[in-house]
Amino acid sequence: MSVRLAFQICTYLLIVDGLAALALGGLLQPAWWPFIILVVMASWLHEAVRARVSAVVQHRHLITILAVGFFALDLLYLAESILDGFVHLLLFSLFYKLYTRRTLRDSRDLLLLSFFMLVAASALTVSVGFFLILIVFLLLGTWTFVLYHVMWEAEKNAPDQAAALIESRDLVTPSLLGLSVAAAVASFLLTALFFFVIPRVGQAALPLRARLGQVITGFSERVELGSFGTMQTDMSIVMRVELPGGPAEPERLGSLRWRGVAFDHFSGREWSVTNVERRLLPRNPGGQIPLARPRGTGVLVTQEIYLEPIGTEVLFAAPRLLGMTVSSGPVWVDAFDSVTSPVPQARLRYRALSELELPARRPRGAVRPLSGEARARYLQLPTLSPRIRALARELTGQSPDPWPAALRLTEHLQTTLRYSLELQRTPGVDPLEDFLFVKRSGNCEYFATSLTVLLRTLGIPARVVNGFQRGEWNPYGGYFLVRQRDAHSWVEAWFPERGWVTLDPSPRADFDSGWASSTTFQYLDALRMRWHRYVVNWSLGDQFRASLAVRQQALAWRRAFFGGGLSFPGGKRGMAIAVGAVLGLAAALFLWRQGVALAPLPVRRPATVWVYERMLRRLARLGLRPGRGETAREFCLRVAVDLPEGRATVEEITRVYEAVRFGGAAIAADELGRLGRLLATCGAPRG
Amino acid sequence: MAMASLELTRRLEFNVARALVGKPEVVRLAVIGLLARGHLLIEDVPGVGKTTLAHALAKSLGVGFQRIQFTSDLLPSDILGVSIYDGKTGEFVFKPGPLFSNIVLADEINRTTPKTQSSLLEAMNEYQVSLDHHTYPLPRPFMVLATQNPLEYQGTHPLPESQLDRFLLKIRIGYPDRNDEKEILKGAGASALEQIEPVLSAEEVTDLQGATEKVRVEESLLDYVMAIVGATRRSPVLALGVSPRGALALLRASQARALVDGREYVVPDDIKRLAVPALAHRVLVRARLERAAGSELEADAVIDALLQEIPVPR
Repeated sequence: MSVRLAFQICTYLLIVDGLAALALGGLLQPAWWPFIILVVMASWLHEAVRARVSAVVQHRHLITILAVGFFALDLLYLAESILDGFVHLLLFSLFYKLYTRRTLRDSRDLLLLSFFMLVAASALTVSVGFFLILIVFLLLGTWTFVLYHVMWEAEKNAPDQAAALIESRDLVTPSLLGLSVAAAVASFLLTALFFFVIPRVGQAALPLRARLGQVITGFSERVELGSFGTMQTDMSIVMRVELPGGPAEPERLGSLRWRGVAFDHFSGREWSVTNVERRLLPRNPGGQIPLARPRGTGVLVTQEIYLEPIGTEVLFAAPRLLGMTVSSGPVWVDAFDSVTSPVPQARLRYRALSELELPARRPRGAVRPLSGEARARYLQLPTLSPRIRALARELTGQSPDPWPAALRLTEHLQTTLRYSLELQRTPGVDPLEDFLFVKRSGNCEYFATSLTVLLRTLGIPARVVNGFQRGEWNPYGGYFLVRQRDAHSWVEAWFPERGWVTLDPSPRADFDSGWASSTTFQYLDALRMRWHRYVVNWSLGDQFRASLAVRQQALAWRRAFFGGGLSFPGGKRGMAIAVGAVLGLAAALFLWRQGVALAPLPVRRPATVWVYERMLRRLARLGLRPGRGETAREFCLRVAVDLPEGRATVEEITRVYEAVRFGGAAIAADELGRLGRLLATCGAPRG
Repeated sequence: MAMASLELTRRLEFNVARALVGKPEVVRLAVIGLLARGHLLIEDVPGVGKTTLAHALAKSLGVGFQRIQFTSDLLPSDILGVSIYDGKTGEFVFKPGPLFSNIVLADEINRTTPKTQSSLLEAMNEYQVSLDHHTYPLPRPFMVLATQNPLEYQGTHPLPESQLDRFLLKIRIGYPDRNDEKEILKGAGASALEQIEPVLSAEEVTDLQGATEKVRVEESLLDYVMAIVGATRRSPVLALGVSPRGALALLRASQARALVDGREYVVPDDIKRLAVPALAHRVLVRARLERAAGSELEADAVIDALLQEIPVPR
């Protein structure tokens, strides 16, 4: 492949890469894609098209003035945003250059334009796809610039034979390609090092034009019964939860769920919050927001939560929440321990510390009693069918103790009613009555509501909580993937000696079992998560933690080697083996280096030899190859017989080659140029 | 420098070629032998111009020329010289033999006894003669042109390997072309030999010999020579490979060829072209004992075959 063709192909690939970046960033409307692809492809046949375009191009100045005027208007009034206006300008420049390019400089401008496209898109996307586009750009870009440099040097140093060199097929060699790939990899590694090491001041940049995912209901101040129904068939991702430093097998933590909002007032058809007052939470100097003290009811779990922008201000965390770390913005808590912050425009990352509940265990210390006003709120009931009250009494008997009564009610709901997402209610019947006595099936909202109402009829304070169940464990990324389908409702009830306790009456586990994401999806999602975690959201705190880990590791090694090998695996023997291995490796490396140093340096071949070798390659394409024991002159004689028209050239080059190669003669640059031209004008090889 | 050398060697070649009609490549080999300070063994049937070549070369140089006809009763003293008692001075005086000349034609060298043959050894190698506790240097330039007839065996003493090794090149003349032979019949060669005038002085010859030694040999070409020599030593067909002396001879001859060609550097072709004349008489083909006839030709073929397999430096 000639240098010119390779350069042209690479330039087009880079342009496609840049356009793909724009498409990924949402800056190119899908409707425009065919048009853009067509225009770019047509420009490949520029020779034919350019002749017609050049007529237009004669009015270059007019076009420039018109374009400037149009884009000023576009930026001010037409475009959606400044960035859109910029992209329009970029595309115009791209097309203009594609159809009018004549010199190497024009091609370089095209490369710059494709780079600008990447820059424009980088402000809008946090997708892992951008990483692929970037890698492609890096590899292709390096290669293209190597080719550009070759062509530029040829034009600068040998203008009269540049055309021949650029068309030469001998320059694009695998070794040159290898060199370019090595350079690309090296620059990537260096950039990555800079990225991870240079301190990240301020927050991770938010995308300029955030797009909300599907805005979900169910977490506002007023929720109608059955509103989760549609959500629970939706596979959209809501959040991912890591448990740093958590239990070894988090997927076995059965009681994990992510609490969102709680409701106290039930109208018979919908739940709402009566007390909408919220308290702004202060941050302590470390940036943490303390919420409650541990009660000794279960294990403490730290969660690293990546919440997608789903249009809710609720911050989810495992109950019971003890504290939070949110990097920016105010954080509020309401009377029901629901934590909120302003609706995030992009993926939000925060940390939460929770104390998991083990229902069997009673909290240490005294439980603060509920105030009369709060107690009244948590016992509020709408007008109820007498059958419901009767059911509660019937199930609990006359048991005075509320805790066993609550357990018995929960068990009854779990075992006698069926979990279903078919929420068609019988018209004219109270929804709760319909669920408990007629249909006897429903989703978690009905189970939670029923239990809350039944508990309240018995005088036990209770509230409904909306959130998400645990989600799916991703073993490759080590996190829980929570989808909309995991939306869940459960109950919190208050007992004098236990305080608020979580009760979940839904028999949902059986319903959910047997469903799992594909392995491929899990891999890809783990990749997305890592991209977000270590690139998009790489922060000063991460850098601090990483440097601390490196320091600790170094200290551990130092102790292992110089501190008597106390902590070295395998004791002294293991250490001896390790030291021996390191010394052996060092010795081998040293010997290898010595060997390299002692080996003769490759002889620098003079340029004439290079011209001769080019001639040999050219002749080889015609089937003329020198034999093993054939000298240059013998070969020359043979060529003179087989290829009479090339005889003079071959003889001349062979003569000069011998003088330089064996006679050590110096050759002037113009003589070399003459030989190069001689070879180039010798006629294209046949066949 | 190269041009001056070329001019001189061209003149010499042209002059000799006038006498030896139609054999320019043989003439060139003879000149190469002269420039490389070597001796030539000319092997061919009688009457193809062996003596004419030696004679023409000697006459062209304007140096001393002696012809020794080797016979079975020839004694070493007949060629080296003898010390004779001088009655007047009462001392032995050395009377130099025919060897004390610049160009010596040793005709039919294989007809004489090994004793006489070996008396040539020191002279050819050291350019001196040791006799009666005295050493007598030979004049410079000194060159032995020996001839032998390969087809007669009755009463001949084939040259031993040690003696063969001292000849730089062994050349064959061969029958002339039809046209050239016709020219000879017309008397072209004979009359020319008589008319040959010296074209090179002894000093010019020694200068050319000095220039030959300065011809550049690129490192990879030394490797090429080594590869050829090494191949003859490893070849299963050969009972005896080429000695280091043989390798040196090939190199010297290649340098001389470069000079004769008007170059100041050796190219692979020089080595390849001279490998057969410089090496074929130094090797022993295994089958030689069984097939005495044509053995030399077989050695040529073996070396030629080896050359096709050895990679040429590029």
